[in-house]
Amino acid sequence: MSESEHYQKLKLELRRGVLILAVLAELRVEHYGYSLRKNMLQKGLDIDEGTLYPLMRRLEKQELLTSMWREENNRKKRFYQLSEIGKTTLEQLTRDWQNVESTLNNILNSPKEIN
Amino acid sequence: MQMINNYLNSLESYLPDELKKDVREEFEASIYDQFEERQEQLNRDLTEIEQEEMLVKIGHPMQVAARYLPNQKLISESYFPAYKKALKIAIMIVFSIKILLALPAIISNGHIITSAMVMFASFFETALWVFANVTVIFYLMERFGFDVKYLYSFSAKDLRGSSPKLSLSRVETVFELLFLVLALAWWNNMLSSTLTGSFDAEFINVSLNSEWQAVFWSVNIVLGLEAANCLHKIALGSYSRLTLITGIILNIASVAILFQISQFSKFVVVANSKLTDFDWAKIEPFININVNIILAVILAINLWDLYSSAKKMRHFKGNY
Repeated sequence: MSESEHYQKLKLELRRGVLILAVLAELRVEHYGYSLRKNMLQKGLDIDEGTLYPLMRRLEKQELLTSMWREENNRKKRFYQLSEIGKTTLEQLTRDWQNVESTLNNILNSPKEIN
Repeated sequence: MQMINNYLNSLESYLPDELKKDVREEFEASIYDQFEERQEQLNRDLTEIEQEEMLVKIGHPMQVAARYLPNQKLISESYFPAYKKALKIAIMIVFSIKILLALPAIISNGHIITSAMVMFASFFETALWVFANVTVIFYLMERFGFDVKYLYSFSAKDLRGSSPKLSLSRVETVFELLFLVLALAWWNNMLSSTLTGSFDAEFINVSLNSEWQAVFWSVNIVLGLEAANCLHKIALGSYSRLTLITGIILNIASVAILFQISQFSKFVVVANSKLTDFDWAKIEPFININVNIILAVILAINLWDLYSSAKKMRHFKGNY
């Protein structure tokens, strides 16, 4: 495996962990699949439908999201939003994320040890 | 928009019934939204190539559908270490039983190599069955929610009793075992006929000296125990204190037997030719020298084995 392939694999792993948090956070406001994807892309997170839609379905199954079908622009769309459990979970995950971020910043910015 | 329809039909075909309608409608709305948005940006209809590019970007329908399904792994990561261990143990147990059951038939059969090949072919088939059965058992355990913590429950006290592993090559050990089995078969077939009779060629009559009879059983015992030790090593997948000590004892026994053989007055007896005037008995010393060389090689192998086993024993020094 080349250096670039290693990097791509690690980047994917890193991204996978934060994706759920990003989706939950975005769904504090109601979205249907495509609008959520566009919204996240505008904020710099590109995620394809093939990954995003099954993820939303999984989160719904875990009762973190609620969904309902509604017609918009003459097209039936499924709108998702955070459930009550989802809101609590998001709060907890946000706190965890902030802790991780602060810890990681400490590690990354600490002066290099001299052997 | 036949292409979109085909994509959605294909996606639906990979999904379970309860998801088909929902997922299709969700993707349909999303794909049409994207197409329309792109058309507005370009101010024209999308070409077939552009449409195809957008669908390809979503991913293969089979791949997309798979993301909706639970447990896409036959054995998940949390079960895998226990599964691998169970598979190893099951294969080793079944193989050991098969070898032990087949060994007498192989040795007594005249066609040793053919019998051994048939046995190894049947091993392959057995291995596939064991693999399939263990996989199905673990799959079902996972499917029906068998708690993974029971698989990994352990007592720290028990762990103290195990020594760190000194790994060995199973392939090399299998070859060693094969060599020993063949040697055992050769020794028995060869000696049972030659000690009572002789190797009788058309014009030369060579037979082993009757002194060989004295080591017949000791060689059988040493080779048999070495084969058993090999089986034990294959089952363990590593050296243990017991296999090393057994190996050392057997090496010492082999050296003692070789010493005993070296004391023979001669190894082979060559009788005079029946058909020619040449005195074939003159080549007897030459054959005896060659047997001496073979014995020296076997001695060297045993001494090397002894040294390497003693060196490996250091690995267990201080370990409980």
